[in-house]
Amino acid sequence: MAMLKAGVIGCGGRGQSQARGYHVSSDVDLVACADPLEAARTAFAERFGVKNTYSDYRQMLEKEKPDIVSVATWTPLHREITITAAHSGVRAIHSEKPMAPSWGDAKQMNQACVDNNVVLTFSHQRRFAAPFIKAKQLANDGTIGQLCRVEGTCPNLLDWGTHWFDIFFFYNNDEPAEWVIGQIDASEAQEVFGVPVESSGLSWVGWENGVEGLLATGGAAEKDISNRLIGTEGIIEIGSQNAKPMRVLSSKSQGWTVPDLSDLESKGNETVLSVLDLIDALKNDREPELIGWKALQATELIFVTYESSRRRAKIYLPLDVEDSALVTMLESGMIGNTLDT
Amino acid sequence: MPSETKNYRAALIGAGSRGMGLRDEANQADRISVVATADPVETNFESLKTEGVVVYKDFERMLEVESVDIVLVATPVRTHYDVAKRVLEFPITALYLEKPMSTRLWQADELIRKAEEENVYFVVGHQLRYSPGWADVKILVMQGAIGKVEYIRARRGWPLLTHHTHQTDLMRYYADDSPAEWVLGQIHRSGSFLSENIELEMQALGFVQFENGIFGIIEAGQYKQPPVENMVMLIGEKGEIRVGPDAHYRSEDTNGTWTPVPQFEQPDIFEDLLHWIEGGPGHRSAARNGRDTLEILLAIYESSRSRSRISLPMERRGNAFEEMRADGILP
Repeated sequence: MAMLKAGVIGCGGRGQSQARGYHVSSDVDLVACADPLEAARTAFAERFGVKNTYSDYRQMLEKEKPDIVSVATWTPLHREITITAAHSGVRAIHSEKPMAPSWGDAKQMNQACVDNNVVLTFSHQRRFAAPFIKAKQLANDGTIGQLCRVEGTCPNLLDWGTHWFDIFFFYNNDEPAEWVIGQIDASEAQEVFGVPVESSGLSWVGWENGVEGLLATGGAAEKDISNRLIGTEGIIEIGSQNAKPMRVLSSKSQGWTVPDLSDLESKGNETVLSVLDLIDALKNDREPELIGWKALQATELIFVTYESSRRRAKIYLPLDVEDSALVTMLESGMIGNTLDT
Repeated sequence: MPSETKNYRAALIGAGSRGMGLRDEANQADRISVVATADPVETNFESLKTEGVVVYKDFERMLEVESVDIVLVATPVRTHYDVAKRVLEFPITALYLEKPMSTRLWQADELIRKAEEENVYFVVGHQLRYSPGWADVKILVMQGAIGKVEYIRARRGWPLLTHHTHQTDLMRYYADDSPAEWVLGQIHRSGSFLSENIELEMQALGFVQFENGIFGIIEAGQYKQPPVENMVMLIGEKGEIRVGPDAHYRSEDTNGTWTPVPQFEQPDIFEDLLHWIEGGPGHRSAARNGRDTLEILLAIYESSRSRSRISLPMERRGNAFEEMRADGILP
């Protein structure tokens, strides 16, 4: 296969993390980068030996005609850049998460790529990280009996919660979800990468195969825990940010035990592995692990949770609104500091 | 203070199936006799009369005529407040009110205030705090079997106020009745849904942050097949306990193997009421506990209404579910 040309849009920290994947691949030439900030693109170019830098990503797409582009900008820009890139003749787009500020934007991005035969992937790179792979193995090999429940805690549903919703699907073998009942509190709403997020959130998810999940965010986030998997015969816990090691409780484990992750950890950095998987998928004409439809199913749970708050009801999928109920409710004063009761 | 040999005369208000069950439980205590019963529609009167129980259609008339120490109230939930409030105007020693105390928090507070004013020992029928299995878990936890408790999840296949109140109350019991700091929750209702003749939600979710750091999760509703089981799960530093149809735990000490929760000696709920009356330290199901459990459940409704987290003690002391229905927000 001829060398693939890659370009990175957005030269900040996440852009650089993704670039490491292109940099180490023998199948890819990292040919260009784009960022409106000169300092950012210069630093990026120096670090990765990139010759051509652009202030306008459109020019980069036009002149470089990359095969793969990474989109590592703030979230509100994802839609426009992805749709533009999808029409520019690229083969693949690897975008940062979260997909978009609204459900409609997320669907449009994915559809533009499907329509143009472009492979779209998102940085849900936890699927390549050791504890999560181990947890999936243990959840599926009978160590904790039958998997009944997945739980996650993190600061918010959109920016971090997208990882946990995605990893819930990963644990549950990407089976379809059926319903969500949830709530958000936006009394101290903050912005993350240009999009408002709740200060506390809850999302109870039912999957068609009977597995259930709970994501608790912000103030409701359980201390020191990232993920918990509950089976009929045991529990797996993954601690947050190394606060606690991963541990497993089952009759096979003789009390809480810490599984050996060294083999999985030796495979390398999860962001790099995500990029390499995309490259390998392009080479071998297979679906990459982080393909758009998987990102969409995680993203849908975010916006369904917001919608459950708006409608004060359990919501069955598919979600039938295009906006972000959180943003709409904040803008109209239904939630936030000025409660319209 | 009454002596420990005193016999107590009790009266039952509401002679339906729950009332008759309650009467049987009360009569099992050596020194309690349910001597009179009131029921406006004369439910079970024939069998009560054959047992020598004096029956009345009107409970106020009964309390005027019969001199009783303890009153058991097992009337429909909607009538709890009015009946209990009136009962507290009579010179009684103790009131046992079925759960939930009321559907509105201000009514629960008012009953407690009145009972305290009248020096009435006031208990709410969250009897699982005395039931073998459920209550044994509390002792196991206190013995440190799973170390410090970090997580309690309580699940029941019926609505919050009429049924999950038992599981929420147990969650509080296992959490040492630590005050709840705040609640976040949601409910679902797509049409009429009656439980104990009250329109209620079909499904509910709640998060409770306890002051002692415990993370509490409430899940209610009959939304799937096979039906949702009654279950409380506790996770601690050293292990886990699951209590439902049966109660078992595992920890580092059991090598991760499921081990039945041991059976401990538990006091009888009515014997413990007498013990309290006669100078004991308190009662597990004292009305203040019933009230705090009710507040958590009502905070879930309030969270749904206001789309926000609800700090306790709650400022709004009504019932947001009833208010949302009245306002046409909920079907």
